[in-house]
Amino acid sequence: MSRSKIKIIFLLMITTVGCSTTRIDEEVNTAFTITDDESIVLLSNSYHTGNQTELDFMDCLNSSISKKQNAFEIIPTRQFQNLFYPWFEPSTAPQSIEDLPKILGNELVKEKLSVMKIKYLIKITGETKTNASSGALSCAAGPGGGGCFGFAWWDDTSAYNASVWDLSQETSVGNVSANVTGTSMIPAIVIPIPILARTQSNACDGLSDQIVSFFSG
Amino acid sequence: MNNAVKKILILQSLLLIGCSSQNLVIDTFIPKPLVKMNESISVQLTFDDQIQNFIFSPEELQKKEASIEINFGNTQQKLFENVFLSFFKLSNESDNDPDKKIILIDVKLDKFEYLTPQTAANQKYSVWFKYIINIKDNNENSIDDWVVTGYGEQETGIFQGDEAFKRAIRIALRDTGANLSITTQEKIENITNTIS
Repeated sequence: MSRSKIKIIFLLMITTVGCSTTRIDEEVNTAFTITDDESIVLLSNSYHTGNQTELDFMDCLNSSISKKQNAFEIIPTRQFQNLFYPWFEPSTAPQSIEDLPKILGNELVKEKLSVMKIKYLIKITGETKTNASSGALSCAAGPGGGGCFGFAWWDDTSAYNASVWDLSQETSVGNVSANVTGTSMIPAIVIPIPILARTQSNACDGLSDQIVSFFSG
Repeated sequence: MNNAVKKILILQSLLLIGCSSQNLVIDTFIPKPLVKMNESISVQLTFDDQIQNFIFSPEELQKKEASIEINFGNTQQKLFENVFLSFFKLSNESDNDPDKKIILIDVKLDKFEYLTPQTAANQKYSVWFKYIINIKDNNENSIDDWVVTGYGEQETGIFQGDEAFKRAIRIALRDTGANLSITTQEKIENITNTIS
Protein backbone atom coordinates (compact mmCIF):
# COMPACT_ATOMS: atom_id res chain seq x y z
CA MET A 1 0.00 0.00 0.00
CA SER A 2 1.41 3.40 -0.95
CA ARG A 3 2.12 6.10 1.61
CA SER A 4 -0.60 8.39 0.27
CA LYS A 5 -3.21 5.63 0.64
CA ILE A 6 -2.13 4.99 4.22
CA LYS A 7 -2.37 8.73 4.94
CA ILE A 8 -5.90 8.90 3.46
CA ILE A 9 -7.07 5.91 5.52
CA PHE A 10 -5.51 7.37 8.69
CA LEU A 11 -7.15 10.74 8.02
CA LEU A 12 -10.50 9.01 7.42
CA MET A 13 -10.19 7.19 10.73
CA ILE A 14 -9.60 10.43 12.61
CA THR A 15 -12.10 12.68 10.87
CA THR A 16 -15.03 10.35 10.24
CA VAL A 17 -17.67 11.01 12.86
CA GLY A 18 -20.94 9.12 13.23
CA CYS A 19 -24.33 10.81 13.14
CA SER A 20 -25.96 11.98 16.34
CA THR A 21 -29.19 13.77 17.29
CA THR A 22 -29.22 16.38 20.04
CA ARG A 23 -32.27 17.57 21.99
CA ILE A 24 -31.93 20.46 24.45
CA ASP A 25 -34.66 21.49 26.90
CA GLU A 26 -34.83 24.46 29.22
CA GLU A 27 -37.22 25.31 32.02
CA VAL A 28 -37.13 28.55 34.05
CA ASN A 29 -38.98 28.59 37.37
CA THR A 30 -38.21 32.06 38.75
CA ALA A 31 -36.47 35.26 37.73
CA PHE A 32 -32.73 35.47 38.44
CA THR A 33 -29.66 37.58 37.71
CA ILE A 34 -25.89 37.18 37.86
CA THR A 35 -23.14 39.80 37.66
CA ASP A 36 -19.55 39.44 36.44
CA ASP A 37 -18.09 39.29 39.95
CA GLU A 38 -20.44 36.51 41.03
CA SER A 39 -19.70 32.82 40.60
CA ILE A 40 -21.36 29.55 39.81
CA VAL A 41 -20.18 26.06 40.63
CA LEU A 42 -21.02 22.69 39.08
CA LEU A 43 -21.51 19.63 41.25
CA SER A 44 -22.58 16.15 40.19
CA ASN A 45 -24.99 14.07 42.23
CA SER A 46 -23.37 11.34 44.27
CA TYR A 47 -22.64 7.78 43.15
CA HIS A 48 -24.04 6.88 46.59
CA THR A 49 -27.47 7.65 45.09
CA GLY A 50 -26.78 5.65 41.93
CA ASN A 51 -25.77 8.65 39.81
CA GLN A 52 -22.89 7.86 37.44
CA THR A 53 -21.98 11.22 35.89
CA GLU A 54 -18.50 10.74 34.50
CA LEU A 55 -15.55 12.78 35.84
CA ASP A 56 -14.41 13.66 32.32
CA PHE A 57 -17.89 15.00 31.53
CA MET A 58 -17.70 17.30 34.57
CA ASP A 59 -14.20 18.46 33.49
CA CYS A 60 -15.48 19.09 29.95
CA LEU A 61 -18.48 21.08 31.22
CA ASN A 62 -16.34 23.19 33.58
CA SER A 63 -13.82 24.13 30.90
CA SER A 64 -16.45 24.58 28.18
CA ILE A 65 -18.57 27.04 30.23
CA SER A 66 -15.42 28.88 31.30
CA LYS A 67 -14.33 29.34 27.66
CA LYS A 68 -17.73 30.34 26.30
CA GLN A 69 -18.47 33.38 28.43
CA ASN A 70 -17.07 36.11 30.69
CA ALA A 71 -20.36 37.27 32.22
CA PHE A 72 -19.67 35.37 35.46
CA GLU A 73 -16.98 33.32 37.17
CA ILE A 74 -17.00 29.53 37.32
CA ILE A 75 -15.20 27.82 40.20
CA PRO A 76 -13.84 24.39 39.22
CA THR A 77 -15.69 21.60 41.01
CA ARG A 78 -12.63 20.05 42.71
CA GLN A 79 -11.36 23.43 43.94
CA PHE A 80 -14.82 24.20 45.38
CA GLN A 81 -14.99 20.81 47.13
CA ASN A 82 -11.52 21.34 48.65
CA LEU A 83 -12.40 24.82 49.91
CA PHE A 84 -15.68 23.64 51.44
CA TYR A 85 -14.49 20.21 52.63
CA PRO A 86 -16.36 18.19 53.99
CA TRP A 87 -19.70 19.78 53.12
CA PHE A 88 -19.96 19.12 49.38
CA GLU A 89 -18.41 15.63 49.14
CA PRO A 90 -20.33 12.85 47.32
CA SER A 91 -21.75 11.48 50.59
CA THR A 92 -22.39 14.81 52.32
CA ALA A 93 -23.46 17.26 49.57
CA PRO A 94 -27.15 18.18 49.28
CA GLN A 95 -28.76 15.79 46.80
CA SER A 96 -31.97 17.77 46.38
CA ILE A 97 -33.11 21.35 46.97
CA GLU A 98 -34.77 20.17 50.21
CA ASP A 99 -31.29 19.29 51.62
CA LEU A 100 -29.93 22.79 50.99
CA PRO A 101 -31.15 24.57 54.18
CA LYS A 102 -29.32 22.00 56.35
CA ILE A 103 -25.92 22.81 54.77
CA LEU A 104 -26.61 26.55 54.54
CA GLY A 105 -27.55 26.52 58.22
CA ASN A 106 -23.83 26.13 58.91
CA GLU A 107 -22.55 29.67 59.51
CA LEU A 108 -19.01 28.92 58.28
CA VAL A 109 -20.31 27.56 54.96
CA LYS A 110 -22.76 30.41 54.48
CA GLU A 111 -20.12 33.03 55.25
CA LYS A 112 -17.57 31.52 52.86
CA LEU A 113 -20.16 31.26 50.05
CA SER A 114 -20.95 34.92 50.62
CA VAL A 115 -17.28 36.00 50.69
CA MET A 116 -16.57 34.08 47.48
CA LYS A 117 -19.80 35.43 45.92
CA ILE A 118 -20.94 31.96 44.88
CA LYS A 119 -24.53 32.59 43.83
CA TYR A 120 -25.63 29.48 41.97
CA LEU A 121 -24.95 25.78 42.42
CA ILE A 122 -25.66 23.67 39.35
CA LYS A 123 -26.39 20.02 40.09
CA ILE A 124 -25.54 17.71 37.23
CA THR A 125 -27.10 14.27 36.84
CA GLY A 126 -27.02 11.75 34.03
CA GLU A 127 -24.59 9.56 32.15
CA THR A 128 -23.68 8.04 28.79
CA LYS A 129 -25.04 4.56 28.14
CA THR A 130 -24.76 2.04 25.34
CA ASN A 131 -28.30 0.91 24.51
CA ALA A 132 -27.82 -1.71 21.84
CA SER A 133 -25.00 -3.24 19.90
CA SER A 134 -24.80 -5.73 17.08
CA GLY A 135 -22.65 -7.07 14.25
CA ALA A 136 -19.45 -9.03 14.25
CA LEU A 137 -15.85 -8.15 13.66
CA SER A 138 -13.02 -10.62 13.52
CA CYS A 139 -9.33 -10.02 13.17
CA ALA A 140 -6.59 -12.48 12.35
CA ALA A 141 -2.84 -12.31 12.01
CA GLY A 142 -0.41 -14.71 10.39
CA PRO A 143 3.20 -14.78 9.26
CA GLY A 144 2.23 -13.02 6.00
CA GLY A 145 0.30 -10.20 7.72
CA GLY A 146 -3.07 -9.61 9.30
CA GLY A 147 -6.40 -7.94 8.90
CA CYS A 148 -9.97 -7.56 10.07
CA PHE A 149 -13.28 -8.30 8.43
CA GLY A 150 -16.82 -7.55 9.47
CA PHE A 151 -19.14 -4.82 10.63
CA ALA A 152 -20.07 -3.79 14.20
CA TRP A 153 -22.35 -1.01 15.41
CA TRP A 154 -23.79 0.31 18.64
CA ASP A 155 -26.19 3.00 19.87
CA ASP A 156 -25.14 5.45 22.59
CA THR A 157 -27.35 7.83 24.55
CA SER A 158 -25.89 10.70 26.57
CA ALA A 159 -28.60 12.18 28.77
CA TYR A 160 -27.65 14.91 31.27
CA ASN A 161 -29.66 17.33 33.36
CA ALA A 162 -28.50 20.53 35.06
CA SER A 163 -30.61 21.89 37.89
CA VAL A 164 -29.76 25.50 38.83
CA TRP A 165 -30.06 26.30 42.55
CA ASP A 166 -30.00 29.83 43.92
CA LEU A 167 -27.95 29.58 47.12
CA SER A 168 -29.15 32.88 48.58
CA GLN A 169 -32.85 32.14 48.00
CA GLU A 170 -32.48 28.37 48.60
CA THR A 171 -34.67 27.65 45.56
CA SER A 172 -34.37 25.96 42.22
CA VAL A 173 -34.46 28.62 39.51
CA GLY A 174 -34.54 26.30 36.52
CA ASN A 175 -33.44 23.17 34.68
CA VAL A 176 -31.51 22.54 31.50
CA SER A 177 -31.16 19.15 29.87
CA ALA A 178 -29.32 17.68 26.92
CA ASN A 179 -30.18 14.37 25.31
CA VAL A 180 -27.89 13.12 22.55
CA THR A 181 -28.32 9.82 20.74
CA GLY A 182 -25.98 8.47 18.14
CA THR A 183 -24.90 5.36 16.30
CA SER A 184 -21.26 4.40 16.05
CA MET A 185 -19.97 1.77 13.63
CA ILE A 186 -16.81 -0.01 12.63
CA PRO A 187 -16.75 -1.39 9.08
CA ALA A 188 -13.65 -3.48 8.43
CA ILE A 189 -12.25 -4.77 5.18
CA VAL A 190 -8.65 -5.58 6.16
CA ILE A 191 -8.38 -2.24 8.05
CA PRO A 192 -11.13 -1.33 10.57
CA ILE A 193 -12.44 2.24 10.19
CA PRO A 194 -14.16 3.43 13.37
CA ILE A 195 -16.96 5.93 12.71
CA LEU A 196 -17.80 7.15 16.20
CA ALA A 197 -20.78 9.22 17.27
CA ARG A 198 -19.35 11.47 19.97
CA THR A 199 -22.51 11.67 22.02
CA GLN A 200 -20.83 12.62 25.31
CA SER A 201 -18.82 15.50 23.86
CA ASN A 202 -21.89 16.70 21.91
CA ALA A 203 -23.91 16.61 25.16
CA CYS A 204 -21.15 18.58 26.93
CA ASP A 205 -21.16 21.15 24.14
CA GLY A 206 -24.97 21.40 24.03
CA LEU A 207 -25.42 21.58 27.79
CA SER A 208 -22.66 24.18 28.25
CA ASP A 209 -24.19 26.35 25.45
CA GLN A 210 -27.56 26.11 27.13
CA ILE A 211 -26.23 26.93 30.62
CA VAL A 212 -24.41 30.00 29.23
CA SER A 213 -27.54 31.13 27.38
CA PHE A 214 -29.65 30.45 30.50
CA PHE A 215 -27.58 32.97 32.48
CA SER A 216 -27.39 35.41 29.56
CA GLY A 217 -31.17 35.74 29.88
CA MET B 1 14.87 -19.56 17.15
CA ASN B 2 13.46 -23.08 17.05
CA ASN B 3 9.92 -24.03 18.07
CA ALA B 4 10.89 -25.60 21.40
CA VAL B 5 12.66 -22.45 22.57
CA LYS B 6 9.64 -20.36 21.48
CA LYS B 7 7.29 -22.61 23.48
CA ILE B 8 9.47 -22.35 26.58
CA LEU B 9 9.61 -18.57 26.31
CA ILE B 10 5.82 -18.28 25.92
CA LEU B 11 5.24 -20.66 28.85
CA GLN B 12 7.72 -18.76 31.00
CA SER B 13 6.11 -15.41 30.24
CA LEU B 14 2.66 -16.84 31.07
CA LEU B 15 3.97 -18.18 34.39
CA LEU B 16 5.61 -14.87 35.20
CA ILE B 17 2.31 -13.02 34.61
CA GLY B 18 0.49 -15.53 36.84
CA CYS B 19 2.91 -14.97 39.73
CA SER B 20 3.20 -11.21 39.45
CA SER B 21 1.87 -9.07 42.28
CA GLN B 22 0.67 -5.48 42.57
CA ASN B 23 2.33 -3.15 45.03
CA LEU B 24 0.37 0.01 45.64
CA VAL B 25 1.75 2.92 47.62
CA ILE B 26 -1.01 5.23 48.84
CA ASP B 27 -0.52 8.91 49.41
CA THR B 28 -3.39 11.33 49.45
CA PHE B 29 -4.34 14.93 50.07
CA ILE B 30 -7.21 15.61 52.45
CA PRO B 31 -8.17 19.30 52.67
CA LYS B 32 -8.39 21.04 56.03
CA PRO B 33 -12.04 20.82 57.11
CA LEU B 34 -14.10 24.01 57.20
CA VAL B 35 -15.14 23.64 60.86
CA LYS B 36 -14.98 25.68 64.03
CA MET B 37 -11.94 25.13 66.29
CA ASN B 38 -12.86 24.43 69.91
CA GLU B 39 -10.08 26.27 71.76
CA SER B 40 -11.12 25.05 75.21
CA ILE B 41 -10.56 21.33 74.55
CA SER B 42 -7.24 19.63 73.89
CA VAL B 43 -6.89 16.17 72.44
CA GLN B 44 -4.50 13.24 72.76
CA LEU B 45 -4.64 10.88 69.81
CA THR B 46 -3.67 7.22 69.81
CA PHE B 47 -3.74 4.90 66.80
CA ASP B 48 -3.54 1.14 66.44
CA ASP B 49 -0.79 -0.50 64.37
CA GLN B 50 -3.06 -0.85 61.35
CA ILE B 51 -3.23 2.92 61.08
CA GLN B 52 0.42 3.80 61.59
CA ASN B 53 2.44 2.70 58.57
CA PHE B 54 -0.06 -0.01 57.63
CA ILE B 55 0.83 -2.45 54.87
CA PHE B 56 -2.14 -4.50 53.74
CA SER B 57 -1.46 -8.02 52.46
CA PRO B 58 -4.31 -10.20 51.24
CA GLU B 59 -5.25 -13.35 53.14
CA GLU B 60 -4.69 -16.79 51.65
CA LEU B 61 -8.15 -16.95 50.04
CA GLN B 62 -7.71 -13.61 48.30
CA LYS B 63 -4.13 -14.44 47.25
CA LYS B 64 -5.50 -17.09 44.86
CA GLU B 65 -7.44 -14.38 43.00
CA ALA B 66 -4.90 -11.59 42.87
CA SER B 67 -1.88 -10.72 44.95
CA ILE B 68 -2.05 -7.11 45.97
CA GLU B 69 0.06 -5.43 48.63
CA ILE B 70 -1.07 -1.95 49.66
CA ASN B 71 1.30 0.32 51.55
CA PHE B 72 -0.74 3.01 53.29
CA GLY B 73 2.29 4.58 55.00
CA ASN B 74 1.02 7.14 57.49
CA THR B 75 -1.83 8.32 55.22
CA GLN B 76 -4.56 7.18 57.63
CA GLN B 77 -2.85 8.74 60.65
CA LYS B 78 -2.46 12.05 58.79
CA LEU B 79 -6.15 11.92 57.85
CA PHE B 80 -7.31 11.56 61.48
CA GLU B 81 -4.84 14.19 62.73
CA ASN B 82 -5.99 16.60 60.02
CA VAL B 83 -9.67 16.23 61.01
CA PHE B 84 -9.36 16.10 64.82
CA LEU B 85 -6.81 18.93 64.98
CA SER B 86 -9.25 21.12 63.06
CA PHE B 87 -11.72 20.73 65.93
CA PHE B 88 -9.40 20.52 68.96
CA LYS B 89 -5.94 21.68 69.97
CA LEU B 90 -3.27 19.01 70.32
CA SER B 91 -2.62 18.31 74.00
CA ASN B 92 0.85 19.22 75.16
CA GLU B 93 2.01 16.69 77.77
CA SER B 94 4.20 19.27 79.53
CA ASP B 95 1.13 21.44 80.08
CA ASN B 96 -0.05 20.64 83.62
CA ASP B 97 -2.89 23.11 83.88
CA PRO B 98 -5.51 21.23 86.00
CA ASP B 99 -8.40 23.28 84.57
CA LYS B 100 -7.57 22.35 81.01
CA LYS B 101 -10.10 20.00 79.41
CA ILE B 102 -8.45 17.06 77.70
CA ILE B 103 -10.04 14.26 75.75
CA LEU B 104 -8.37 11.03 74.63
CA ILE B 105 -9.27 9.69 71.22
CA ASP B 106 -8.32 6.16 70.25
CA VAL B 107 -8.71 5.14 66.60
CA LYS B 108 -8.78 1.54 65.35
CA LEU B 109 -9.14 0.22 61.83
CA ASP B 110 -11.88 -2.39 62.03
CA LYS B 111 -12.28 -3.32 58.35
CA PHE B 112 -10.66 -2.61 55.03
CA GLU B 113 -12.40 -4.31 52.11
CA TYR B 114 -12.30 -3.97 48.37
CA LEU B 115 -13.73 -5.38 45.17
CA THR B 116 -11.78 -5.45 41.93
CA PRO B 117 -13.33 -5.61 38.43
CA GLN B 118 -12.32 -9.30 38.34
CA THR B 119 -14.00 -10.21 41.64
CA ALA B 120 -17.14 -8.10 41.09
CA ALA B 121 -17.47 -8.79 37.34
CA ASN B 122 -17.92 -5.11 36.53
CA GLN B 123 -15.73 -2.23 35.38
CA LYS B 124 -14.91 -0.59 38.70
CA TYR B 125 -12.93 -0.80 41.92
CA SER B 126 -14.90 -0.38 45.17
CA VAL B 127 -13.22 0.25 48.54
CA TRP B 128 -14.58 0.36 52.10
CA PHE B 129 -13.00 1.47 55.37
CA LYS B 130 -14.56 1.04 58.80
CA TYR B 131 -13.02 2.59 61.91
CA ILE B 132 -13.93 2.32 65.59
CA ILE B 133 -13.27 5.50 67.53
CA ASN B 134 -13.35 5.63 71.29
CA ILE B 135 -13.54 8.99 73.08
CA LYS B 136 -12.49 9.17 76.74
CA ASP B 137 -12.07 11.92 79.28
CA ASN B 138 -8.77 12.67 80.99
CA ASN B 139 -9.50 9.97 83.62
CA GLU B 140 -10.04 7.38 80.89
CA ASN B 141 -13.81 7.23 81.41
CA SER B 142 -15.54 6.47 78.15
CA ILE B 143 -17.54 9.39 76.75
CA ASP B 144 -18.60 8.01 73.39
CA ASP B 145 -17.91 5.31 70.79
CA TRP B 146 -18.22 6.09 67.11
CA VAL B 147 -18.23 3.94 64.02
CA VAL B 148 -16.99 5.90 61.01
CA THR B 149 -16.99 4.47 57.50
CA GLY B 150 -15.72 5.57 54.12
CA TYR B 151 -16.59 4.31 50.65
CA GLY B 152 -15.02 5.03 47.28
CA GLU B 153 -15.47 3.68 43.81
CA GLN B 154 -13.69 4.32 40.55
CA GLU B 155 -14.46 3.05 37.06
CA THR B 156 -11.39 1.63 35.32
CA GLY B 157 -12.24 3.74 32.21
CA ILE B 158 -9.32 5.82 31.04
CA PHE B 159 -6.98 4.89 33.90
CA GLN B 160 -3.87 2.85 33.28
CA GLY B 161 -2.58 0.03 35.49
CA ASP B 162 -3.32 0.42 39.19
CA GLU B 163 -4.42 4.05 38.95
CA ALA B 164 -8.17 3.31 39.19
CA PHE B 165 -7.62 1.20 42.34
CA LYS B 166 -5.47 3.92 43.91
CA ARG B 167 -8.11 6.53 43.10
CA ALA B 168 -10.86 4.38 44.66
CA ILE B 169 -8.75 4.11 47.87
CA ARG B 170 -8.10 7.87 47.89
CA ILE B 171 -11.83 8.59 47.40
CA ALA B 172 -12.71 6.21 50.24
CA LEU B 173 -10.16 7.89 52.56
CA ARG B 174 -11.49 11.33 51.63
CA ASP B 175 -15.03 10.07 52.29
CA THR B 176 -13.89 8.75 55.70
CA GLY B 177 -12.53 12.22 56.52
CA ALA B 178 -15.80 13.85 55.43
CA ASN B 179 -17.94 11.46 57.50
CA LEU B 180 -15.60 11.85 60.49
CA SER B 181 -15.83 15.65 60.28
CA ILE B 182 -19.63 15.56 60.12
CA THR B 183 -19.82 13.07 63.03
CA THR B 184 -17.47 15.18 65.16
CA GLN B 185 -19.44 18.33 64.35
CA GLU B 186 -22.70 16.63 65.39
CA LYS B 187 -21.28 15.11 68.60
CA ILE B 188 -19.06 17.96 69.78
CA GLU B 189 -21.77 19.45 71.98
CA ASN B 190 -22.25 16.12 73.75
CA ILE B 191 -18.47 15.86 74.34
CA THR B 192 -18.27 19.42 75.66
CA ASN B 193 -21.22 18.86 78.00
CA THR B 194 -19.85 15.56 79.31
CA ILE B 195 -16.39 16.83 80.18
CA SER B 196 -17.78 20.03 81.65
